Amino acid sequence: MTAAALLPSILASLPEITVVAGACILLIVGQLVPKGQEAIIVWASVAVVLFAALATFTLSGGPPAYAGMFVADPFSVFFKSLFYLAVVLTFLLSRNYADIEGIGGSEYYVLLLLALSGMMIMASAIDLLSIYVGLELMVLCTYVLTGFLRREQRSNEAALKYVILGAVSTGIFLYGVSLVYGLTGTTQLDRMAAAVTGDPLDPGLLLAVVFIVAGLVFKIGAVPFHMWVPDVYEGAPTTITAFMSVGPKAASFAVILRVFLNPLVAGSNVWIILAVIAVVTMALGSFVALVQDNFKRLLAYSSIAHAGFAIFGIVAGGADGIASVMLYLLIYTFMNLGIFGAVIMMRNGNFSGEVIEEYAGFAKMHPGLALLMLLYLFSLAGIPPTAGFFAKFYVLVALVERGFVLLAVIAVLLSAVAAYFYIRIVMVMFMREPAREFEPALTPLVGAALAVTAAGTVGIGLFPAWFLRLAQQSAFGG
Amino acid sequence: MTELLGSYVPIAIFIGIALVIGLALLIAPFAVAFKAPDSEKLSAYECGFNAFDDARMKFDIRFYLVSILFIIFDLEVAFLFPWAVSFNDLGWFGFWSMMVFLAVLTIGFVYEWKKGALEWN
Amino acid sequence: MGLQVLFFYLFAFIAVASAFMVIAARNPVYSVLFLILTFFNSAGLFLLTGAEFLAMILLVVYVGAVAVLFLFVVMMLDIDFAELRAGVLEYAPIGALIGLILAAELIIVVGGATFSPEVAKAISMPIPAVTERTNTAALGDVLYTHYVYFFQIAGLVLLVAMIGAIVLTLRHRENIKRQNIPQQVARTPETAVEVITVKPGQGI
Repeated sequence: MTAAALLPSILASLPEITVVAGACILLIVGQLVPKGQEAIIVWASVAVVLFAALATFTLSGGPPAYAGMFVADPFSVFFKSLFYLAVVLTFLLSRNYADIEGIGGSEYYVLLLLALSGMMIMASAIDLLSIYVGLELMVLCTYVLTGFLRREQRSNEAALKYVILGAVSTGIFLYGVSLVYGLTGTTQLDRMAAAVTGDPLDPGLLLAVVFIVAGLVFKIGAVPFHMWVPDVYEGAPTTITAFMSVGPKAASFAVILRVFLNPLVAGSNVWIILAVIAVVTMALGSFVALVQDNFKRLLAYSSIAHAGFAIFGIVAGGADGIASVMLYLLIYTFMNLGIFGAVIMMRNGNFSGEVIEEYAGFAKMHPGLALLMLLYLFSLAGIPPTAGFFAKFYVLVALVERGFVLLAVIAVLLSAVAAYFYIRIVMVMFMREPAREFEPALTPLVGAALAVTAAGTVGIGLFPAWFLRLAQQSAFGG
Repeated sequence: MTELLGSYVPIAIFIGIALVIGLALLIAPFAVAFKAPDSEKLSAYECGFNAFDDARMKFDIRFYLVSILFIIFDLEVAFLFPWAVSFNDLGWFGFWSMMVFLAVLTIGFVYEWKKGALEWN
Repeated sequence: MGLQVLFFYLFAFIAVASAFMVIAARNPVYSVLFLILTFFNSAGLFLLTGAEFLAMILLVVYVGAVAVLFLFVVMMLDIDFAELRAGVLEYAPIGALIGLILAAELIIVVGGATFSPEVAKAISMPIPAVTERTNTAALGDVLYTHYVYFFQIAGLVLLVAMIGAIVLTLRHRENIKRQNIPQQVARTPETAVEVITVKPGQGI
């Protein structure tokens, strides 16, 4: 890395720089904005993300930058687009909710932007150290955002648990990285495999890979590192829960895809571990969700189950497997932000919108909104013709093509279990008599966010092949 | 390497002497001092009262804020040392690299100041 | 060389023993003090491998700042020691099991891993000999130029830590009179003093 190589590197990472610079400016400007004018910050944050998106689409491609630590390939562009979408939708959903909860300072948006930059760094990382620093940047922001409701004990507890467990998992990951560096002399993903001399099943490397797997799997909340998910998802502000369930999760999947499709990792038979993790994760997520009364907790277990399903795509491997995981994450972003948007909308006055029983008879009072929630829930359950069906379908296709028929059968059976608890919410909404008045806070911004997610959920369901091709074209670069 | 470690020998000697003196002062009273304990002598003395409560009490959270801000700037300074040592070989690239780093933290500092985190009340 | 080995075992033994005491000590304040001892011995170990800068930073940052922060936290928690000890034995078997598994894994690695000599040649950032370049300078040579990307992100991580600490802990109390220096300086007798003529027997 020399001064001459700096300019192309800066150009390649201009989207990241835009987001970071925007966050820094907003941090200072946010202190000068008078009370009652906070809407400016929301719009400015959205503008920053749009600028970054523009830069991403115009400047992508090109060789690795910063001496092989960063790359702006189609794979990263796909994931960055997903992050932009998730963050902008979170901004739109946050505006009203943050005011109700009294957390709508500029820091909230600045931290979301910085988390976005960490996620982008992760998506573009082709070096274990870039993965680490990006991960750390992202995860520190989410720790703070989780504890944003300072007066609520649940929020404090969630943040504390998240920090401690997150730090342990990051430590495990770093330990694996240091072992890899000691054994191969490099942390760059492509050079790692080349540097291995001798037996690929060297116990040292195997241990290193296991540590790296453990550290990364924690971030997507897969069993046995799932303990934090329900508590953190329940305690965090709902908008942040919505964000965490799609953004950081997708970023971790991006990293996992890159690391796991590295020949070194692929050669050490790690897919067996992954297959076991996938089955156990899906089973736990689906079965425990059956007995949840709290909407956010239920969605936390649902998110564990979905992570398990997406891991099946990694087990399948190959270009098809990668593309199916990428498509899955894109669809999951739409439908999960949609259902969270509905929950966020319900938070109004003294109605928390967190207890499933409280939705009894919602369809009688607001048939339109109930239908919208029905759409998201059916999509999460994987009922055709919604997008959620195709997300699962392509993962299963990739599995069967690789000959993992047994795994595919298990995945289908567990999905059927998972479908039950989504349908249960639908039953509560449609079959019961209303016990109370509902006053959903359907502000124009929330409405826009719900419209976008609904359009995504329906649109991908109508044209799945087009989106699959998009994912496949992006996947080959990874 | 041996030369480098050799330069640390005085410190090792220093620590050795400190240990000896510390242990000597710790052990000497047991050997030398006159002991005649009774319950009054052994009870805690606090201006003539019995101790009201435990010595361990809750600190104000503001101490914590000050100390964590201190750690952040401490780490920032830690980055300055190698920069200063190899400054001659770094050139303009290294110089501006550090300036950008400092600028980011200055933004944090300005935020901290505006927010009033440096005021006690 | 013999002296170096002696010091290695001395530092390593005290580091492991005091690390054990960190979790075994009854009083959390003692735990922190043992932690400081562990840091000191780890610094000694760093020194023995020639990593001077890391040794000194460990002392400055960890002993000087982080350990003090830990002490604050321990003080702030206002812990009930009896209650704290109650759970220990309950979880001890699980903890011991995990520890045993980790130890077994480490033994397998130490027993089976071979650091091939080619790796040392292909290493991406070799350390120059101490006689040519001191450790601190060797770090500085690459940290700000070759690794500029990581360096700047480290700055961002520090920024996030700063924002986080302020957002989560700073609470402005109302009803406290604060200094507002420009306002105080800009005060004039006209705005500060009001002369009222009070008629006798009426009050203000």
